[in-house]
Amino acid sequence: MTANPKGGRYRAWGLIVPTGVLYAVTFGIPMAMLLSASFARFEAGRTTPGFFLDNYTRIASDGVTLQVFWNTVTLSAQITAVGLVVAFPVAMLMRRAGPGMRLALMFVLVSPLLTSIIVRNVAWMLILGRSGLINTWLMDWGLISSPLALMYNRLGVIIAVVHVYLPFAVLPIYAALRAIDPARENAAASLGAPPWRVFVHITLPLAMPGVVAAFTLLFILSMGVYLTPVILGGNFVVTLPMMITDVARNQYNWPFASAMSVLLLASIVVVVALASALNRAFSPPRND
Amino acid sequence: MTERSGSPFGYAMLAIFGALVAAFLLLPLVILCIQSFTAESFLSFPPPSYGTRWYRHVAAAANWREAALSSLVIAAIVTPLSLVLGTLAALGLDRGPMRGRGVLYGILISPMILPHIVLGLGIFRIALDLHIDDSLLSIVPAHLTITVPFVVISVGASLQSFDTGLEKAAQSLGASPLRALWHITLPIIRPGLVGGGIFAFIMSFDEFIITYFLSVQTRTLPLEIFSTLRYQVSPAIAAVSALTIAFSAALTVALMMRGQVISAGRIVR
Amino acid sequence: MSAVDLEAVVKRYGRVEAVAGVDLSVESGEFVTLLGPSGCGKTTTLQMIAGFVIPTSGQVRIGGRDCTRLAPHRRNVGMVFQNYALFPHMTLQDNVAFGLRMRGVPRAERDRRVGEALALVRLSDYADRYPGQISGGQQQRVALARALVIRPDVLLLDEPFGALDKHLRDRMRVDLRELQKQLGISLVFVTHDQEEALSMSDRIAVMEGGLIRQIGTPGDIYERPANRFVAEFMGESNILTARILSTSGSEAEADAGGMPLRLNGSGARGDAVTVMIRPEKIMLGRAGAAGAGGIPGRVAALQYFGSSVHYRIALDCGPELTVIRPEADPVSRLAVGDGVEVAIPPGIPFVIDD
Repeated sequence: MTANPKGGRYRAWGLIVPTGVLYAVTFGIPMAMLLSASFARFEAGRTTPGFFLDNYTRIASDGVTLQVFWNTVTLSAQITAVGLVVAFPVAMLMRRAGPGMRLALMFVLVSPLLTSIIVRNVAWMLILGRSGLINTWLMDWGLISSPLALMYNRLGVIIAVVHVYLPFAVLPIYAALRAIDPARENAAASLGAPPWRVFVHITLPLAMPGVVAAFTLLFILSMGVYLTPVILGGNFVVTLPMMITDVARNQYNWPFASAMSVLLLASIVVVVALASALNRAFSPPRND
Repeated sequence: MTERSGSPFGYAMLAIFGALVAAFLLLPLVILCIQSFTAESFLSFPPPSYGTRWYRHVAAAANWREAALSSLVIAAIVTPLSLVLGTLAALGLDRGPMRGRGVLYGILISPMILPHIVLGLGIFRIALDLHIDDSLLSIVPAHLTITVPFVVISVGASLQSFDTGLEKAAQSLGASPLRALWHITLPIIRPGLVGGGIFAFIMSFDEFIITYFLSVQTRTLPLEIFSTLRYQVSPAIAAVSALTIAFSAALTVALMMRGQVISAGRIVR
Repeated sequence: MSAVDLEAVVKRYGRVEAVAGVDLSVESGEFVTLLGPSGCGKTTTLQMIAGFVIPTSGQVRIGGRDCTRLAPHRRNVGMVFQNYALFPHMTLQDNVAFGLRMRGVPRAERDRRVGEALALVRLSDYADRYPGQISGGQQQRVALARALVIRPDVLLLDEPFGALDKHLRDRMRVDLRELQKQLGISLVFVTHDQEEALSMSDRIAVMEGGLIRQIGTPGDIYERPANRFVAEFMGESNILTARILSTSGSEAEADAGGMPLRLNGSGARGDAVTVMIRPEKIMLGRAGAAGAGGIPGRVAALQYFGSSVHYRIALDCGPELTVIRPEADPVSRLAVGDGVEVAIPPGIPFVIDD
């Protein structure tokens, strides 16, 4: 905005200050408090600040928290796997479709994003429930005699979470696919590669950055999901966010809830680190 | 431009798969809307008889009206504030030095990858200490934390494709930097602003867990749906849900006609 | 036997005819260039030989075999793409080996042939590098090695030098031509650059509007263009309308707006014909200088190009001519406004289709 090369450019950062102040109050300070609280001691409803490892020892030894954490990780892994498998062909289709079809697909993908998550969960309850659409129809047609358990289990949660987060998986993969010069695939074909080998040797490896981005987004979002397991999992699918909410809101055990939050954050940091390692592994060396 | 010629069979398979996924994404919402028009006291599909009974019920019920109103009020405050904060931050990044830009950008969008549950827990704690829980004073900043990153991404993307030469041209014609920004830059990056604004609005309108922590008396629409769900899935919920779908659909279509949905889609890349 | 035959090949996209009926035979070991402006159908034609585009009608034969509808990977053609289309996630070695792997060539033979191909393009030392680590000219050579190593029936090149700077481009031209002769390979080259086409090809097919407007040796195309499009596309030219005064054999006396011409071409007395004169074939001298003795005129404008000077000459009798002289020519000390005389040797004005 100014001709002054150095000082003027740094001055532009002043525009970030309001957001910086907001983040400090709603994000920075609370996270610092959360971290310090995770080392506090909570006994008989009283919190003693200090540096105690009580909460972390409890996580490691109570036999429940680690189990719930592990459930959350495996659930997220399942959601991520299903999401990627569904998203990749859709992204491929978007790439190969004509402009009209592409716009229609983009609309179909983005429009659910603009719909409330809880509303989409309600819709799935009406479809997957014991007296929901699928069970009613299957029973009416005489295919089953008693309702299938489609909800209040992992299946229902996976379906509903994939429904919510699918666009976040498709769009990065589509972006990566679109960035591939079709001439590279044509070159492989002219060198004698049939379509499936073109896909395996060229398209898929070159789309990996998008797949890694989709993987990261899906996994992180799934780790933090609260509403969908509560509504579609009932009390049968317990995730770490559900446990954190319960401990904080009903037991007022803020230090333990904080420690579990730190665990959740740490697992996300691990996923992000893993993703960046993957990205490095998949990006070929270049000089410029 | 080289055209990519894959096998037509593969394309057909992809198209079939795509149609199934589109059905997976859209049908639940369609079914919900159909069920909301049931005239019965319980939900089933297809409904044995149709009517607007539950819409009249919802319109008359104080709890739904109040919940919708507080959701709208919060979103109406949060959206313009997010746009101002996010646009300023995006401009600051864009006009600032290259060095450190990546790190700052990462920090600015970092609340996106933070589980809302952790954010909610942290903000709840600080709000309790400041005695501003259950108040717009805590709910609005909390919502801003999750909406501003979307505006930063969307406006940032628009700025990236914006030719700063245009601003210099305006200045060479006598416009002050501020007037150049107002008359040249902002109109050109409008798709980014609109996309970011839409996402900010929807995110705030849809926000559940942070508000759940902060609120005692305040009831937003997602909170009211959630607490009603605990007793039973009443057709009233379907009616409320259908109304929010209609609301978002109207918004989307309005933008679609102005060709701005794609830029809204760009946000999640 | 010809390497490639195109017979009445047409490609339509909706109502647009990208290629409107092309017949072309590439002889074994021949270097044929498809030359034309963008949108003339040259790339589409190449893509139909490669199999990326299926013709709407007509037939494509490669090595005598009908390949019209054959998938690209079942043809044995090598292609060098505009931006090389190297596989960025593979080393140069793996890039070049790709086609052999797809053909199931055994490991030992594969390594040997890849080594030979890399040596051919002088990149043996770079086998373990990735495409992102080498220069544009080197990438170009890898693309060539990758296409050659499969011993294709025909090598197709789509504007392969477009992304290189001028100096490198000139060198690659010489290298490619030498390589092609050395290996005796049949080659179809697409370009919009007439210099490139003239300097490399055995034959040039000049395309416009989805059709081949003329096909012939570089000399034919440049000296004896068939029509106004080819004449103008192949370099600077003076195109005039002349009226025939008298004919004798294959020559004719004509008048172009007061300027007498002796044409190469015939017609009936009184006919109006379109005449092309290459500007470097026009003699130019200072007015009144010894040995000039031509049509008087005046220098209207000049442009200095280093090795040559381009003059715009306004003839006293009306028409304007472009004249190109080498910089070393003594008349090159001319300035705007100087009086000159031009002479057009008999047989140089050439009758073309309008």
